[in-house]
Amino acid sequence: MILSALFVSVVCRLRDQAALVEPLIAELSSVLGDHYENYEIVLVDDGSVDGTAAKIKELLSRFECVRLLRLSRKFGVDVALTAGLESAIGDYVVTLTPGMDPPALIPEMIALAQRDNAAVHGLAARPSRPLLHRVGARLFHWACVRLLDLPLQPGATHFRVLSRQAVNAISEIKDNYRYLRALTPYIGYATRTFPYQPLPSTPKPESLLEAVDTAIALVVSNSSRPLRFVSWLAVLASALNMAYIGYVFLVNVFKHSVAEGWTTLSVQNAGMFFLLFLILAVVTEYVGRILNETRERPLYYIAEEANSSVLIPGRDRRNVVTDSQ
Amino acid sequence: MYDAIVVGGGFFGCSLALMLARGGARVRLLERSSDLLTRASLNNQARVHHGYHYPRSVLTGLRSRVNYPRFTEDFSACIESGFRHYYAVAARQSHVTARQFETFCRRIESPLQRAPVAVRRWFNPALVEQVYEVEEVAFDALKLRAALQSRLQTAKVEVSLSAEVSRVVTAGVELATGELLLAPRVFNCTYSGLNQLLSRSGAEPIALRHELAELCIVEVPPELKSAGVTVMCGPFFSLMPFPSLQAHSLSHVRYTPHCAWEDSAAATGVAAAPRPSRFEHMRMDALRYLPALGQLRHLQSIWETKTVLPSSEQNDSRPILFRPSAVLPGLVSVMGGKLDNVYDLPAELERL
Repeated sequence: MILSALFVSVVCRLRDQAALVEPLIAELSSVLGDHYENYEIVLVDDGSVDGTAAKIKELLSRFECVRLLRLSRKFGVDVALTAGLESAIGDYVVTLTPGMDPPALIPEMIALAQRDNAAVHGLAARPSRPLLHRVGARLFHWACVRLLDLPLQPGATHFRVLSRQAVNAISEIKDNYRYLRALTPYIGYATRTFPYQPLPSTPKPESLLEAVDTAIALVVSNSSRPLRFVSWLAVLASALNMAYIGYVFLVNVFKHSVAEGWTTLSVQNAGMFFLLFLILAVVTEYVGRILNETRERPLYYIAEEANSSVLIPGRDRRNVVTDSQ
Repeated sequence: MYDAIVVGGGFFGCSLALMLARGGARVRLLERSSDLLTRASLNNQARVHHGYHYPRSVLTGLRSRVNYPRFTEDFSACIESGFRHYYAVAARQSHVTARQFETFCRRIESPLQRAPVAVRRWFNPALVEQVYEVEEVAFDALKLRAALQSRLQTAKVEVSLSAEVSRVVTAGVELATGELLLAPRVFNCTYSGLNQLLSRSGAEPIALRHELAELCIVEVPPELKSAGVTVMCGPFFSLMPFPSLQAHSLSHVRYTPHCAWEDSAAATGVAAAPRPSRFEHMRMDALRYLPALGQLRHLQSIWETKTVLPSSEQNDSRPILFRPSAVLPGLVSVMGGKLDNVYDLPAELERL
């Protein structure tokens, strides 16, 4: 088999997954080593407390081309992957979720990315979720695509292939709140989807409450459409108020017993307050976001970096080719 | 009977022999290879440090700054100065910020100025915080060898090439041929071989760390021909003119050391094992910071064992190791971290 001259980087985020480290590195090394002349495995330790980093360091003397970036605390999946992306050097950078995305599919995805000169997004068949969660997710995706101008892919995972061009574009985005799922469509470029079957060891999906929380944060960070809706709502409320003033005026002119009207008054009050607080809620979200973005704090802190140091290379590698070309 | 025997004909061994001979001593210099300066003195970045490289060790930075004019004057014929040297401070993952680097240079009183806009444009502004232009030259190792050879001859140092020392004994050394040479002082200047000689002689070992280092010799695009670039201060790279081959050298903090080990039986022969080059890794990373690199051509790789003191791992310092043996009287192990601090040696010799 001829090795491809492509340089491939694989970025994984690990959080308290010490047991998974060794099989992960072993499988990635064998898949990448069998297909590519040059590769690197960038493992981002997202503030693990179970000795994941120590386990990786142990393996640095056995596996080549492995790099460990240890973040100073937990920053979350998207920031951890960004740290990896910003330090990856490959022509193509693959991000994957350990234990969920099968490394064996990497060459196929990269071939697709190369053929169509596009970013490739993995789509996984989701494990079954409660009805409410499923309906909520459907509704959310519908709203994102139709109302919010956020072309999210239902079922899109962190298993993706990005070209150097796309990685550079993402690195230039300095948002403190970042959701790679929303950023990758945002930067444009061609995309292809890649349906796959996740591994049985896939971590269980987030709860409904967590999902709603992520959904709100994702929308607020990436779309200003809700603010636009709120503006329209405010205009509508003002118009209603104007109409009501006219109504009150007419009543005053043409009616002689004006003591009634308590019902109308209460309904109008309640209606206006409802709109007012709705508007406040949305504006608050955005003000909070503006506060955080204007602080311009670094997105993450790297506590340390460690690299492979293999005394005798290729110990496990067989020196056999099947083709003379 | 000699006054002193120096084992190892690298830059430090030669310089030490010269210093002793100029002080009136009868000196014998023993080198294992068929020529002087064939190993780490030849196979390195050829940088004459002016202090800028050590923002995390003020002492090393200061000593470099002080010794720099002495070295460039002493070996003026071996200096390649026809290029501009640029130091770039990386925006992410750097151990120092541009501001800290400026403060450091003020403290060691090294001149520093921001690079012209045309040079700044070579770099990727997202990854590089600031670029400075500094004065720092490179040396030609082959010319250095020739200069030392003639100086050793003038100083009447007896040089033996292809002379393998089997062990150091009390007041002398025993050669592999069985010949015994006597001298009250023996200097072990064998760099990565320090501990091998010590253990063969039954002396106590020194804690040392070795790295198998790959230095890529490259041909740079025309606009970079007369430039050196160093990106600071962390897992970044350095592109320096390499005068003895009329090319540039590319080294990378992350990729140049292929593996590291401490002296032990398990690690012998590590340096000899063939390895795939990491030129592609170095090139891909360097391109991110310096897109102007464009078509970089790999000419060859130079492999060498680099030896550092474990204490230097933490703070970036590169002191001279000067250690008399507690077991064998008269035996002193000497190791220099970089060429220009050779001028810190005479004071130590006097204290002996």
